[in-house]
Amino acid sequence: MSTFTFKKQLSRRALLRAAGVTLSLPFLEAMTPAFASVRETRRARRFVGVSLALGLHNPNLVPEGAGRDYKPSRYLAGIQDLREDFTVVSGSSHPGVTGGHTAEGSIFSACPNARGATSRNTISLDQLMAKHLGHETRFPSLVLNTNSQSSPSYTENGSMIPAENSAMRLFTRLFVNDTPAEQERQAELIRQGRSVMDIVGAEAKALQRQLGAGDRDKLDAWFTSVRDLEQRLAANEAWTHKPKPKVPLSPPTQIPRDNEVAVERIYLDIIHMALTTDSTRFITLHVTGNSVQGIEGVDESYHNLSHHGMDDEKLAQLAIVEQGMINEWAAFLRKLKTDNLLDETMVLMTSNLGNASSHDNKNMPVLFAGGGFKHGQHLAFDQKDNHPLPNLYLSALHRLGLQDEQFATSTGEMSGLSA
Amino acid sequence: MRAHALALFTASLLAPPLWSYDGLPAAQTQFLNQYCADCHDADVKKAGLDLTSLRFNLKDESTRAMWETVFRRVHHGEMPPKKKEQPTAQEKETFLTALEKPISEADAADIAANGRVRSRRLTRTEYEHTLHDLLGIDIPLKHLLPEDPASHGFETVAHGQQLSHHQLARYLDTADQALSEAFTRAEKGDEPWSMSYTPEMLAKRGRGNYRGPDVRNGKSISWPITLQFFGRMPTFAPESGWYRITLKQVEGINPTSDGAVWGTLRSGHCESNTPMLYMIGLVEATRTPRDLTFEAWIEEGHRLELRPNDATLKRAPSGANGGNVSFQGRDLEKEGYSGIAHRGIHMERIHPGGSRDLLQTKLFGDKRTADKIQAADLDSLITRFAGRAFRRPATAEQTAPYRQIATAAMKDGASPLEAYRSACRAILCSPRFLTFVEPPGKLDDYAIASRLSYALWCSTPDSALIKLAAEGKLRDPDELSRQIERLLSHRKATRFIHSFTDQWLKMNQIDFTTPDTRLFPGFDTVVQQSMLEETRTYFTEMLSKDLNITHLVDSDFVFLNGRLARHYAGSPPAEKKPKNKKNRKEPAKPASTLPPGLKPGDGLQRVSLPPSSQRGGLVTHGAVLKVTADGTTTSPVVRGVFINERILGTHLAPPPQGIPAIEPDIRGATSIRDQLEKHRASETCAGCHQTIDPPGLALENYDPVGVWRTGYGRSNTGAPVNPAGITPDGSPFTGLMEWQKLYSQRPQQLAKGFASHFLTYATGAPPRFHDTHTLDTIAKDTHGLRSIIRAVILSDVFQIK
Repeated sequence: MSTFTFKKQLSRRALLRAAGVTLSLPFLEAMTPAFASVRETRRARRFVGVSLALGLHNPNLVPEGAGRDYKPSRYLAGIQDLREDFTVVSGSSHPGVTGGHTAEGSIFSACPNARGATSRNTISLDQLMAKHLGHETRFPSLVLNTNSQSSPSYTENGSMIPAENSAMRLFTRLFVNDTPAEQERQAELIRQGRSVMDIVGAEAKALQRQLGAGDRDKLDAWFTSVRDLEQRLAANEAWTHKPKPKVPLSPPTQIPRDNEVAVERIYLDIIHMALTTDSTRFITLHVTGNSVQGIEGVDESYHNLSHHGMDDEKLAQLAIVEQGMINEWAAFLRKLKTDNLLDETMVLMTSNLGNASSHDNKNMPVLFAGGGFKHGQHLAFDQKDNHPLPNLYLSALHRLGLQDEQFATSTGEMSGLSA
Repeated sequence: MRAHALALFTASLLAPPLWSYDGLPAAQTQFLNQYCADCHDADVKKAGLDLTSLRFNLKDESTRAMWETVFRRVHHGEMPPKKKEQPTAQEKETFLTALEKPISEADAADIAANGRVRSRRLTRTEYEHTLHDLLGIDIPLKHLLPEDPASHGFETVAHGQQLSHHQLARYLDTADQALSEAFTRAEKGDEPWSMSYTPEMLAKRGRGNYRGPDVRNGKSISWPITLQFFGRMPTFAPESGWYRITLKQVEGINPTSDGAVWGTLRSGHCESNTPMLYMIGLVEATRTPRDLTFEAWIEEGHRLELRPNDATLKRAPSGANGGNVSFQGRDLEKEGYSGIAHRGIHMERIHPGGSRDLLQTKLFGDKRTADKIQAADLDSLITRFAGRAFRRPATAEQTAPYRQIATAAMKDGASPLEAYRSACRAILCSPRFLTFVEPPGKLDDYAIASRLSYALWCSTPDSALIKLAAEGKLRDPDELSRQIERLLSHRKATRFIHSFTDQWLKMNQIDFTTPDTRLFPGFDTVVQQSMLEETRTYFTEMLSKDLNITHLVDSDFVFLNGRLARHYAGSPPAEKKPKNKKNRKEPAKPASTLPPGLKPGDGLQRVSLPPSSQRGGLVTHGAVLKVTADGTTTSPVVRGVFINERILGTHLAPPPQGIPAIEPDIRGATSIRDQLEKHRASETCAGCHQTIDPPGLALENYDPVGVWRTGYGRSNTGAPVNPAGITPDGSPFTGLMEWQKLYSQRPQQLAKGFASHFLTYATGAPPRFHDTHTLDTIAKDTHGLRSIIRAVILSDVFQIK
């Protein structure tokens, strides 16, 4: 952990950092030239990461044969119309990440976690992207969970971002305009919040004098958080009175809580609209619901099925659920493709669990689509000696024009993706 | 120095490498050379450790941590590995003594300068209790804040707590909501509401399918019908809030062998698009009718659902088609079905956090009400509130910015009350409120009051503690002991019992897995809830009676209710549907399955166990056995890690990289033990697994839902369970009972383990190397649970930063 020095690398990106500070307020036309040189090099603009809390059964996912001539696996057979639009990666995982379910925090950060016990997490891929490029939209990023508040999205100081877990609230935040009175109340709360933050910052400073050097790290987190929130509140204030986009999608009043696949679909539909309206460009969706008994042919809970213990009946039911998860992901890709958004949107589906039955974090399931990469292939790495998945994350950063030299434990870009 | 060592090394390639350390006597270097360097040099670097490049710079935190590990591994006999050359007892002793002193001193110096606990923040559980106690409100707040990650097993540990602007934004919003509730009640008062429902009213038909109770002979009856939302009643809550619910004359029809019909009272929308149900409480309906009272938070528009909830009951047909229920023309009682009857429901809106008067006193002090607040009161009100929120008197300098907020608000046209509220909102976002302000060195009286109060009440100190702190009396051990007793005997101590067992024993993960209904058809919500209560009640008993810490591993009593007793006895699976209506026999009166001394209707009761019993000790509790299994299978490794870390106080190293976990196989042909043997055959794995596995193996006779079994696979007909093993120090055991006997003889080890868990929870940081001595001293002859807690609080470790 101690060798991981993000700050150093970030400081080399003088151009972008300078731009990031000036543009912490809503995007200004006058600033376009500052970005022009970067924009030419980047080919993607958006990232959507879908993570499954319970993995995907590898024998049903990983195709036979490597490269472009792979033979579709059971799970991929039904989405071959998209064959040229995605890559399936096998034999890849996050180095130093163990701990079964507790490794969830590292899905998008790839931070080595020593069994989830000792270390502090590092920034997740989506948040690093949003930090530098998220200021142009109403929401710098969206962190979503189909069920709980937990998320694999972490801030720079390793703090988990609580996920939005109500589809209705999400829809309202994105697409429903407040009444003028409510807008005024919001604006007032924001103004008050900004003066509260002034005091909180001053209090943290006073405490720094009172407390020893041992508390310095923690107080630094207060300073950073206060500054970040002040910027966020300022940006929000500017957006308060701007109308939200109207979308051809009904509010999600009915959430079929016994069908996690259908819940995934509801969220992906909203995400699709968030992208087409350019409300945000960086999104994670963590799929964690446990109820799947409403799906035809399934009568056990999802978590229970994932602990199949090689039992044929459980494996059969698990396959129904997992196929549903993949099909919804594919349906989402088709929509982006129709809208001509797929080429500039990177869409990932993965999980911290390579084998949910044994809680193994190796051989993570990876489906990666869009973003203008070379697809239509199976990148088959060594199942025993895994390829670092953060290499894919580094490729994704570069595709956005961010010139990081490393992401977490990456050793370079993932080979075979660039055309 | 390094160059020198390198020169020596290259000069004679055949000789063992030699190096030396500043500050470490040559004899100890010789020990490292002789017993460690074979594997831990720059070439082999086993487990990533190269001792030749490690300096003896104990001021550096990470280097010191490495030396602590060296000490620990040698101390516990894990290093050098058994098959390598072993030091003599004398050599080992000398080496450890020489190493211990400088490490301990360096550690103590760091603690003195920087403290062990660094800027601990309120957890969301503590935040909620604190705001309830500060403001006199009772609305749920916890869910508005992000979950707290656990570090070293506990959410209170400062190291794992992070802060971001997302979290700060939530604090702003949550404080706003809490204050809104408090000020609205202060200004407008509480409107009383109550409602009585007769059985007829509860059976009222609305639109859509009927899923309500049966009405017969003036009673409302719920039967074991498994249609979703069956048992719902039109008792819609007029607003979100706390309610007292009385079920009148509850009576069990055709009770089971334990003398009762078990069910659940829950609340929810009870509509298909919002199926979430919230548990209110268990209903134990016996032949003798009696009133049952519950208190619960119910959301606006939610209603009650009462139904038998026992997976072993014979399920009754719905009597209608298309998701409807009908009782026309049938008598389910005569047909032998079990049911829960009652004679109506009384619901009343309550405020368990206190009345409006109490709330006003908390907000405005004595003899003041919301309508009397003047601009001239603001300074004193704000100073008073800041002092209560910061858990110590606030200076004029500290309160100045908050008073300014109020002044600014008044200038903008706010009323004095609104201005006060703005200041309160800012105070509740201050780091002086949200974190524990503890400068290095000995804690002052106020900081001790806070630590003590959060340790045993999960909340802010009350006025009595603050008064003692002001008088400087809390550093007096006698006074502190009296306060420990007072706090532990107070009703707020149940918060500690819940919060501590939730984290220490992972009771908060009881819902993480749902047991496979085909493999474990007898498991249900009532059993799960009873298991939780069993463990909490047992812990409470240990705490209130100061029972010996060995009760963690064995005891001659348990807490059971009738349902749990039946579950543990291995209840037979339910007959799903009566196959042939005509041939159905009149149900025979079931023979009682109640253990001697257990009375139907009395909930959890203390029951003595015969010496031959398989139960006994916390380790045999269903809840513990469930959270250490995955709903389908058990793993001696998972249970072994849990028992080692949480009960035995063993420190386990994380698993090495690149070792795949065992693939569970429930088909029954092979046992997990056989698979594990292969794993352990490798020398790398054996080192740790000889410690990890034994308690897990001893517990293999318990299935994932805590029922005794003798074989694997469905119906236990697969490979036989073999619960034998050898403890890491070489004592063999044939099964759980012998394992329990062995560890019942080790109160010192168990006491030390518990003391360090409690210390971690209560202070917000795990014990340090330097603290080992204190813990050893406590564990030497303090073995009662309450006494251990007292001794930890009275120790120096608790009373310094």
